[in-house]
Amino acid sequence: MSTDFQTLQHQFAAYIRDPAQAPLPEGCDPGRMRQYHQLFFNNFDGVLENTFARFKASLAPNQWATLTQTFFRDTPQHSPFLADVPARFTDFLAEQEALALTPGQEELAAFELTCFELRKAEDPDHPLSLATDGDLLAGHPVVNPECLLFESDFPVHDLDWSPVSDPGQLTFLCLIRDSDGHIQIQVLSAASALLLALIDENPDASGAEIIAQLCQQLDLPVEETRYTAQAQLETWRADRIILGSSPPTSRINNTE
Amino acid sequence: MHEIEHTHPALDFLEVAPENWLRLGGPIKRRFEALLERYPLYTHGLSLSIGGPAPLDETFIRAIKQFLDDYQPVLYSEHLSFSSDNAHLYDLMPIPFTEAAINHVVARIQRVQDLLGQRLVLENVSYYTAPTAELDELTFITTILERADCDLLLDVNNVYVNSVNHGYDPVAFIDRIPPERVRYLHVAGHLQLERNLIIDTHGAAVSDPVWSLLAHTYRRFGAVPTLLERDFEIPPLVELMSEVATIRSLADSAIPLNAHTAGAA
Repeated sequence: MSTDFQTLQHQFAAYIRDPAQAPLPEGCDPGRMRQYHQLFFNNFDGVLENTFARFKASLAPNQWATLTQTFFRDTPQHSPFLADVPARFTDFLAEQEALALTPGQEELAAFELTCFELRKAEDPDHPLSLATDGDLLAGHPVVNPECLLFESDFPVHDLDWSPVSDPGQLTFLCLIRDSDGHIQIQVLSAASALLLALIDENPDASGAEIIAQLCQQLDLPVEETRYTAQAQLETWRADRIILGSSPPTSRINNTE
Repeated sequence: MHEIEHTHPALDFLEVAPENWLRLGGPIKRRFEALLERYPLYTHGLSLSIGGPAPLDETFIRAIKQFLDDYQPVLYSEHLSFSSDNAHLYDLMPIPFTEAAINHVVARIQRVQDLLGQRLVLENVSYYTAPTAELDELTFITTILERADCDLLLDVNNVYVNSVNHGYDPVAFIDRIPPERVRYLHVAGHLQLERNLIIDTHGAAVSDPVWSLLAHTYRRFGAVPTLLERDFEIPPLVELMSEVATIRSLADSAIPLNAHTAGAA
């Protein structure tokens, strides 16, 4: 009796994933099945290489190939969207206990994934009550939904930094998708990063209230800090990290 | 994409894969929408896996429907193949050519057509090897078209590729396709690896035998809308437009059933 067609389909896909182990589907040519394996693998490899170029460059010879081939063979992809594969790859990296990746390499992969996701992210709704020239102390400063804060134990944005041999350094980055769709990066101080985080976490609070909270958390003098924090908010408005202000207590929260 | 945006070449339509655009945001989405102000849209899906062994992903199909509702393309096409078993491989595998597979695929096409509220237009895919078959490729395809009452995207390059890979006459294949099912054509370049093995790469100019087969296709079906596919090794637009001009000239010399002929992916 001939093999059920769905069994043949499972065998066909299994052979493409793992030609070294899977049985050859009945009637198929082994050389041409290897062509299938190579073509399908190259498709995965291309997407991963485009997303994780610096992470790949940090690996030892053959390590990338070992990783991507193992990922292709062993990790089932349940999303119909090829663009979801890079996020699955970082999950896969985190599960590889025997891999001997440095913490810096893992952080670099996470950073490159974040940039990839932000470049293609769906458009958020903008706040309904935004005043682009509004008072950033009396009103709630509205953070551009096309930017996000990335905190790391390593200077992952620095092209001269080696994720393999260089030491860690607490790093705060603001990533912004610009009008060309490219990711711009601003390096923040720890205090500025906390200010940006507090704005995001307190959608009902005014800029002045948020600065007061910042001073309390960091034990900073209120009057001096208010001056420098306000200057920071205005700089962010010029850089479109802050879009303007909305009345406190009525901001529409658009972050997912 | 930049060249099309800046030079606005004389194309009759553009084609995109909904999967690559339906969750995108930012400037790239606005650029896409700006192009749709100038060009009609055809769509060509990748991940439906109409012949797959796992249940249809109806959440995904509804997302496709939303995209079709939003952008109102001229048509939505997909592949008569499977691209997943229990997990996605994002590329095309040949469905085993059996009666049981036909029944399975026909039921799934009918379900998708019900969900989308439109006929599917399915492409004959290239393949390099296939499991033991009960039927030949042409019987498999034409039986599905008739039983599911769906349409065909006739990929002329794929007919040629398969005719070399599996040793049949491509002209006879085209001549046995029912004309009333042919809604849309694709042509593309390929890579000949061995005397009897061609890989469907979309990474080269259209080859002479495929041009000849396209001319024959137009003589049989008339000037059906035709897409020039190019995914890799993409040359300057002027070179692609020269191929588009060849498509137009071949279509113009055929029986003029329809006027529109040339697009770009």
